[in-house]
Amino acid sequence: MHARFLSRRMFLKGAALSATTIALVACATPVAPTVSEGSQAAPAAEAIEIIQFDRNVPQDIEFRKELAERFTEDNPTITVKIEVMPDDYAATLIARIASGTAGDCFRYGTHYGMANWALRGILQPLDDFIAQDGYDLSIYFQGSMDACKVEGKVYALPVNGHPGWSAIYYQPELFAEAGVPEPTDTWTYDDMTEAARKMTKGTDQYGLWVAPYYEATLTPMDAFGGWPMDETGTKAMFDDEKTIAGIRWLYDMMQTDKVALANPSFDSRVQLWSSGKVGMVLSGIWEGSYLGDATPADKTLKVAPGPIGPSGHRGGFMGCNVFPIMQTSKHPYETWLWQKFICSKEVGIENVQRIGEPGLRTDVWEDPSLLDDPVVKPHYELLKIVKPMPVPANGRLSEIADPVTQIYSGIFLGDIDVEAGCAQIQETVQAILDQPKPGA
Amino acid sequence: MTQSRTMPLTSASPLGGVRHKRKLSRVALLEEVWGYLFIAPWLLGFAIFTIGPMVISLYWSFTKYEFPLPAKWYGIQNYVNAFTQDDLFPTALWNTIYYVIFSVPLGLAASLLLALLLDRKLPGRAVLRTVYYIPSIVPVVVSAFLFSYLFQPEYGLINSLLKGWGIAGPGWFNSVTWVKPTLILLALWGAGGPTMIIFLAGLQNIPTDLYEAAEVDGAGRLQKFWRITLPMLSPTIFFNLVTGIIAAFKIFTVAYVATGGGPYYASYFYVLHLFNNFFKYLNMGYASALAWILFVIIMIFTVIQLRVARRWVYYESETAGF
Amino acid sequence: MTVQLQVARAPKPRRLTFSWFDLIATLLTIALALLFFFPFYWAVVGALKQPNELQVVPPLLYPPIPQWKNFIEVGNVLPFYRYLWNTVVITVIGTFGGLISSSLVGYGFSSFRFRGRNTLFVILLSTMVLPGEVTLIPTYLLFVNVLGWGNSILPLVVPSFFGGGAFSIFLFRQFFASIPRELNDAAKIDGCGPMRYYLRILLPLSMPVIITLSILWFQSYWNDLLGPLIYLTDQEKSTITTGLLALRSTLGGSFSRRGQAMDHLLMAGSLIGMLPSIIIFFALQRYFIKGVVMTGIKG
Repeated sequence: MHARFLSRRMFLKGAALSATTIALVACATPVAPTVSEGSQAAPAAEAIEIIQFDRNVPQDIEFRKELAERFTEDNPTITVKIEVMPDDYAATLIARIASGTAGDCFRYGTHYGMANWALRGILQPLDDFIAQDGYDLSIYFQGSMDACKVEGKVYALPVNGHPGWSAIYYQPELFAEAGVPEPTDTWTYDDMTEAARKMTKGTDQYGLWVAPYYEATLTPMDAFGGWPMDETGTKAMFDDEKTIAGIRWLYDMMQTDKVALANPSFDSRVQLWSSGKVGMVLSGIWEGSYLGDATPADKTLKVAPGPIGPSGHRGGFMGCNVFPIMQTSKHPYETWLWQKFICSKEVGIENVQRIGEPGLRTDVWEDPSLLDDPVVKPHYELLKIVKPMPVPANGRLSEIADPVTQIYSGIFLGDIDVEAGCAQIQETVQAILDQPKPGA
Repeated sequence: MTQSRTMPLTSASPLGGVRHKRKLSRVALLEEVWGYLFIAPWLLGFAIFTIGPMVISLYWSFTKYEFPLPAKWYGIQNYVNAFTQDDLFPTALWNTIYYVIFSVPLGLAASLLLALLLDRKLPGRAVLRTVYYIPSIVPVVVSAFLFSYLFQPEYGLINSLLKGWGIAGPGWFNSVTWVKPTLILLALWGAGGPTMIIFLAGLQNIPTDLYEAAEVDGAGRLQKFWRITLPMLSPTIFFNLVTGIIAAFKIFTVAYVATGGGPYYASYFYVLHLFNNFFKYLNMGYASALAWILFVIIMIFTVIQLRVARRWVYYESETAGF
Repeated sequence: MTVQLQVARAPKPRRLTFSWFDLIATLLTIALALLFFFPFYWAVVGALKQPNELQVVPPLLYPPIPQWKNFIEVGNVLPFYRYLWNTVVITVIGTFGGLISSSLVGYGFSSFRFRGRNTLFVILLSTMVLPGEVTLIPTYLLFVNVLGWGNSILPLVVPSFFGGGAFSIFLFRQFFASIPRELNDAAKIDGCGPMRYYLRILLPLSMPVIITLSILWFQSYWNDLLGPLIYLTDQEKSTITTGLLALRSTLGGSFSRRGQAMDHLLMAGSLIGMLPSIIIFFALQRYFIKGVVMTGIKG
């Protein structure tokens, strides 16, 4: 009894002692630095986990997990956990942000509307980290860096991307059949139109396929010298003759000359291509695998840079995939380190083999594996010159893209003529551009 | 208390059953207790899981909520804007009402027809019913893709066949005038689904002796259908009508997947407009208001149906009401 | 007082009579069957094709060289069979909960008079009306932040035990209401309380409805997309519907991706996903029992 009593007391003492010790230790341990904009933060000594939301594309996930492991080898205290989001993840992302469980960074695109999130205060500006580390931004294509800025602040590094729906994917066999010379680096829109006419046989075969969506139509629009809005993002330019000319070209392809499907569905390009029924597809870098896999046995796939328009240059836009950092992230500096890692030159080159979209550093494109790849190289010319996807100053990109695409479909199906359609677009878009920023 | 009732109920009438006098209040109280007891799971669930989110959503509809910036009180401005400022509101509403008006009666009639066809004593009935049911469980991505592919205007199978017969096929999904009818057609493909099996269950529930007695009385096929089948089926028809209208008002997924609301807004349905405002444009206050406007519209339709139901729905048990 | 119920037996064999009506009806039945079977056939054919055969023009109605390996391939690209298991768990639990609670509540609404019943019923219907998109976020916050059920199947299955949704309650209520009150009265006089009446008489009578709802519940859980999408964040917990999203190459908006065209795997995966629903449906609907015959209530 005595012993038990004593031992109980001893136990209690011991417990109290350990509790105190634990408390002391906890207090003494440096709390992970609360990083606000610009505070000096050395990588914390304790293990840190960064959570990245990534899209549910198996090749992407596999690659990113490998990169995460390599990153941890270089930075042993930091692990990156890749959480997979479904492709269409608007609902999920929003739910997570609402509940405060949104992770540290997420895969997004400057052309999906990153500006909208930035203006609503969800994203962390990176300028201070860039200054702190003395990071050189000039290594990136100008257009890509511009795309990553909102109101002059940098919100992400361009990880990988593409210059829009701007290259010509074609089947040389069909050219040979029709006796048409294949596309060259100096092709113009007239050349392309001519070739398309020669390869079109009613509805049995089409010379050309062009997409009717807001972002895809930027290519011809740009080539004709037009653009949806001015540089300030406050004035709609669908009343500009050159912009209208670009749209009219599309209309002519679809309705006047009928060399392309009118208002085609996204699948229709694969449907025609896999049946050898379309000579040229004006599309983007992803077609290397999509159209590549769908090429019929007796045909081949070749790629040429998009044609030069009346403006004297080719058309396109810069679409960057980015991994912006959440304002609510507890480890923004570490996340920034991760971001620099995946934007390195080596990774940028690997991107091409693994996920098909090259890094957007100019030095990535010095690598022969890119320049020698006939499917990838034609995009290089465009990367040097394209501007970012035009985003309104108030960030309301999808509010513009949706109505524009809708009215386009009316134009391209012939339900409304080009002038009237553009006038309608002008009115609608200007009304949205006139709206204040979110929160104002 | 004794009751005798000659059977069978040959004079089934669509106009309500027999009424009894109100019982003693103690018994009535007991009935109340039992009633509440049985519905308790739902009451509890409603209180815990449903009412909170509904109230929050209603609150948001009175705010200017540009997610994730804090919501600011906005009064009824969202509701006013919907009716005065939003150019797409009338379009979205009209498209949806069009869809409801045409798809629901057609769908019900089709499902009823299919149920009648399959209620007969056919060999392989189980297999046939399963086959009819399949389109409704094919995932929307697969069926929408298949439909677009078959109905592709320039080279799809359907238009190619029509061309062979000298008919110029319409634009189907890619036409302002045809997109809604095409979506209704796609919905009809699912007519062998849940609606049909509910009708089948309803048909099974009809006592066969009613038909036998009618035959004895010399009733023909059509008379049996009008006088027995339809009235006895009326609770089921009512159910499918109410739920069908509610579901049709909320049409969204197939338009989102197959047409994106186009072309030229022709399939831009109300819930699509709501979805865009909520998840894409992040105007959650306005989107919530849109939702509640729809709620009121559908509830008006539903309550009207409940009132009118007294006239045509026949229940064997008179406790059901409505 | 006894109540006798007989389930109708198979009808007596009739003389073979020819009827135009029957002939047309049968032909129509078969024609429609072919039409309805087509999407399934298409999914089978698509699952066996190679990527460059999937969307050719004119369409290939059979796979030139059946790629049976696609069904294995699906399991390589994704942990598909684990997703299958996850879906089974959620579906079984949810269906069970939904059937029990909605039949109880439906009984309550159909066969008892109590104050506020009509109002509550209208409220019940109103829960079907509000578009789910709008309560999605608040509901998510409730489950994840308030209840702490993030990244689990609880938000998906627990609500089914609490009434399970207006649709089923409404359906049960309709069916129970079409059963004559005399049955209830007779049972009462026999000393049968409401619970026993419910268990011993009502449920067996409602076999067609129960079977119908089992099928519908199964299907609704099996094909649910938004629920698992939002509440199951670990990839290993995904269901088939969310798992298959990875294979779509052509859906809305995000065009700038590389992925090998995996539509053929999407077809294979969708097909595997469809099979349980089909099997359940086929197995259960054979048990629809035709009709109920009341042989009278003897006083």
